[in-house]
Amino acid sequence: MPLFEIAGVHKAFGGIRALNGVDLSITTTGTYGLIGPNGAGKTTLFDIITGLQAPEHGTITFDDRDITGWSAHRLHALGVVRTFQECRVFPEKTCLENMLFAVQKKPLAAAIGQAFWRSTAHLRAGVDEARRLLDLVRLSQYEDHPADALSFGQKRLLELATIYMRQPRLLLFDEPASGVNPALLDTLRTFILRMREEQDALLILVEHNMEFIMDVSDHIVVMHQGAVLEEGAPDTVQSSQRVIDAYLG
Amino acid sequence: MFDAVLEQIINGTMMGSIYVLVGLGLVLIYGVMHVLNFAHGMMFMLGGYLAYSFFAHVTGDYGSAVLLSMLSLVVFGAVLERLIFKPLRGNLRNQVIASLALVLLIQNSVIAIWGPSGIQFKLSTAEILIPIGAVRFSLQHILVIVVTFACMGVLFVFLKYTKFGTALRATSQNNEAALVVGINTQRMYWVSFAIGSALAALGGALIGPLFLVFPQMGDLPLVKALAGILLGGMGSIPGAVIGGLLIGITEALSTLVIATDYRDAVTFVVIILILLFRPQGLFGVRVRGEA
Amino acid sequence: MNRMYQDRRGLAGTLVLGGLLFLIPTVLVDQPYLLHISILICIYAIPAVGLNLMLGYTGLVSLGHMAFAGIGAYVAAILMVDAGWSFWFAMPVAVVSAGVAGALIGIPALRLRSHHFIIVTLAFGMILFLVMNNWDEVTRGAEGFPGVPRPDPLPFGGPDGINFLTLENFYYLSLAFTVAVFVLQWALVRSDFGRSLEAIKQDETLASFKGVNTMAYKVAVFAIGSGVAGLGGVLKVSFLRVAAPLSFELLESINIVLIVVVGGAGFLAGPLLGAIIFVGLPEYLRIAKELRLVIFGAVLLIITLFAPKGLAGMPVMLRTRLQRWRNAAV
Repeated sequence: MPLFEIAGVHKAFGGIRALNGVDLSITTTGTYGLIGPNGAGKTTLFDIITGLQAPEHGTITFDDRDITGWSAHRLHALGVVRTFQECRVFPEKTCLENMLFAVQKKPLAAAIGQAFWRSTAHLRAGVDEARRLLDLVRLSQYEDHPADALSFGQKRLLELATIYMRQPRLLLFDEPASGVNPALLDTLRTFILRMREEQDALLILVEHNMEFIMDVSDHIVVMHQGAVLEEGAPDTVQSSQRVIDAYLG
Repeated sequence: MFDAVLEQIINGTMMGSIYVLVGLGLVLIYGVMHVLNFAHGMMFMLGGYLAYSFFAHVTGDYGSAVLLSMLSLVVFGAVLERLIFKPLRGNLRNQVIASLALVLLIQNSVIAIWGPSGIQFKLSTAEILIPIGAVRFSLQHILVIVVTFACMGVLFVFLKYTKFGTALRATSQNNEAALVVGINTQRMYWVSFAIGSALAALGGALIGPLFLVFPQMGDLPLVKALAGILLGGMGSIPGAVIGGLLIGITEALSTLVIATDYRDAVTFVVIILILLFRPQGLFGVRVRGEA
Repeated sequence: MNRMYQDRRGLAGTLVLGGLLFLIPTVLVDQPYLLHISILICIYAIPAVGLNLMLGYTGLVSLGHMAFAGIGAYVAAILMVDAGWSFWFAMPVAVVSAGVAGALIGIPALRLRSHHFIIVTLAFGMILFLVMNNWDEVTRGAEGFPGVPRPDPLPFGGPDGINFLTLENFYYLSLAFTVAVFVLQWALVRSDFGRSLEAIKQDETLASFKGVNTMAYKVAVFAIGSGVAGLGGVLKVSFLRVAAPLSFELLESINIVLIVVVGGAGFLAGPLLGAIIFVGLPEYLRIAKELRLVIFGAVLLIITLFAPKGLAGMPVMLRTRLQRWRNAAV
C-alpha cells in the first residue's frame, strides 16, 4: 500500500481547468520536490490536499486513510501539516508560545477541563524541545519576543520550526524559500535536511527556486497543465527533454 | 381588500425607496471600503434634523433646505472618513466599534441639543393629498418615490459613464488592481463615504415631514436598508435597489397578515434567512476563500 | 514565558481590586446609594466578562450580547414568579438556558464570515427584544415583568438565615458571583482552551492548521459567554425586582461592547474597569444622563483610535511605546 497517494484529482475554477487528473503514488518517506511552470496547479493541489478546496473528482490517501476533504484540524491530528506561501505565524504569541502551540491538540472538553485541574506539565515537557528547535533556526534570543517583531525570513524559519515541533508525518511546504534572503536560505536548507534526518516523514515541497529544491529533494515531480508530467531523481528530471521543453528551457 | 393591498404596495414602495436611499449609501461604502458602517443611520437622522433646521431657520424653502442638508453631510462624511475610518483601515473589529462609538456620540449629542422627543416638520407638500384608488396619499409620499428613482438614475449614469464613477467601481472590485492602474484609492474612499452619507441624509430629509424628526429615526431604517442590501447582494448597486424595495413592500404587505407590532420582525427574519441560506444575496457574487 | 507572568499580574490586580470591593460595605455603611451603585457595577461587569471572552480573547464581535442576558432574566422571572421556584434553582436553569441559546444561535451564526456574523447577532438581538416587548402573555410586554423576588434566605448565619432584602447582603451576593465569574475567566484564559481562543483571534485559518477545531471552540466560547451574560441578567432582575425589555435592547448591547473595549478587551481586569467607568464615574462626577453617553461615545472613539487596548492595556501599551522610543534613541 502506498504511503501517500493522489488519485485522479480534477479541479476547475469557472472555465479554467486547474487540475486535470493528477496521479501520484509515493511508497516511502523522503523529500519530494514539486515543480512546474506557473499555472501548473501546484498550489491548488496543496490546497486540495490540506482541505482548503474540494476536488471535483479524485481522492487523497495517506497512511491507508482517505483524507480527501478532511478539515485542517483533523489533518493536524493525523500529523499532516503545511507552511504557507505568505508565511503564517501567530503575530502576538511569542516565538516560544508559537512553538508550544504547535503540538498535538487535546479535544475541546479536555482543553476546557484543563482550566480547572491546573496541569501545565505537558506544556513544560515541550519547552526543552521547543528551545532546541529555536536554537537550530537561530531564533533563541527571540524566544520571548512576539513573532510579529521578526523579519520575514525569521518568521519563515519560525514557521518551519513550529511545524516540525508537531513531529509530523506529512509535511507540505508552500514555497518556503520565497522572500528569504541568501543568508537565511542556508539555515533554511539545513533545517529541512535536518528534519528529514531526525524524523521519518514524508516532505513535499513546492518551490520556484530551482537550485534550492534540487538541492533539498530526493525525488522531483514535475507538473504541467494540471497533471504530473514526469517524476524521478533530480538529475534525471533535469536532463529529461520533456521537462526541459515544458519548463526549464 | 384590493384597496388595502394597493395601499400597502404604495406605502411599501415609499418606505422601500427610503431603504434604497440608505442602502445605496451603505453599499457604496461597503463596496468600496469594505467597512460595515453602523453610523450610517446617524447620517440619515442628521439629514432630517438639518433639513428641518435649514428650512425653519434659514431658507424657508424645502428644496434648498434639503440640498443644504445633503451638502453638510457630504462634508461631515468626508471628515469622518479622514479622521476615523482612515486610521483604522484594515481592522474590521475596530472600525465596527468606532462606528458604534459614533452612534453613541452623535445620537446623544442630538438629544442634548434638540431634546429627546421629536420635532414636527410641518410642510405644505405633506399636507396636499392625492387620491389613488380609494386611498389618499400625500404629495410627499410621491415625492419620496420620484426623488429616489431620480437619484438612482443619476447614480447609475455617474457610475457607469463617468471616469470617476468607473474608478469607484474599479476600486470596489479590486483595491490593489485599482492602485496599480493609478487610481487614487484614498480619494475613492472619502468620496464614497461622502456620497453615501449625502444619500442617507436625503432619505432623512424626505421622510422627516411625513412622520417625525427624532433622534432614533435612523436606527430601524439602517437595519432595514442593511437587510435590503443583503437581499440584493452586498456589493451590488442594482441589488440594493431591488432589495430595498422588496423589503419595503414585503414589510408593508405583512401588516395585512400579522400584528403591526411584529412588522419589524419581518426584516430581522429576512436577514437571518439570507445569511444562513444564501449569504451572497440575489445578485451578489459568492466570494471564494476565507472569512 | 512572560505572558504567563502578565497573566498572573492581571490576576493579582483583579484579586486586589476584588478584596477592596469586599470591604466596601464596611466602609460605606451609611451610604446605601453607593452600595446600590456597587451592585450595579457587578451587574454590568458579569455580562462584560462573557463578552470579553468572546470579543477580547476570541475576536467575535457580538452586537446582541445583552439579548442573552435577557434570556437568563426572563427565564428566571418566569420560573420564580409563574412557577414559584426559588431563586437558587431558577438561577442555574436560567444560566444554562442562556448558554444553550448561545450554542443554538452560535452553531449557524459562527459559520459566517465576520461581517455577516456581526449582522446576525444584531438581528437576533433585535428579534429577541421584539419578543420580550410584545409577547404579553409570557413576558408581560413593554411594561415589564413585575414581582421578581430577591433570592430566598440562606439557612445559616443566625436564626433567620441570611436574607437578601438588605442592600449589604445583596451586595455580598453580587460580589460573590462577580468574583466567581472572574475566577472562571482567569481559569479559562490561562488554559489550553484560552490559548486556542487567542490563536483563533490572531489567525483563525492558522489555528485550524495547528489542530484547533475552530468551529467547536467558537461555539463553546459563545455558549459560555452567553451563559455568563444570562447570570448577569438574573442578578439584575432579582435586584431590581422587575424584568424590563429595555434592559436588554440593542443600546444595552452597544453599551456592553463599550464597557469591554474601554475597560480593555482581552485583559482580565478589563470588564471590571469598564463597568466601574461606565456605572460609577458618571455618578461620581454627577453628569447629566444625556451628556454621559456623549462622553462615553467620545471616550470609546478616542480609545479605539489611540489606545485600542483600553484601560487595562495601558501598562502594556506604555511599555511597548517606551521600548520603541528607547530603541529609536539608541
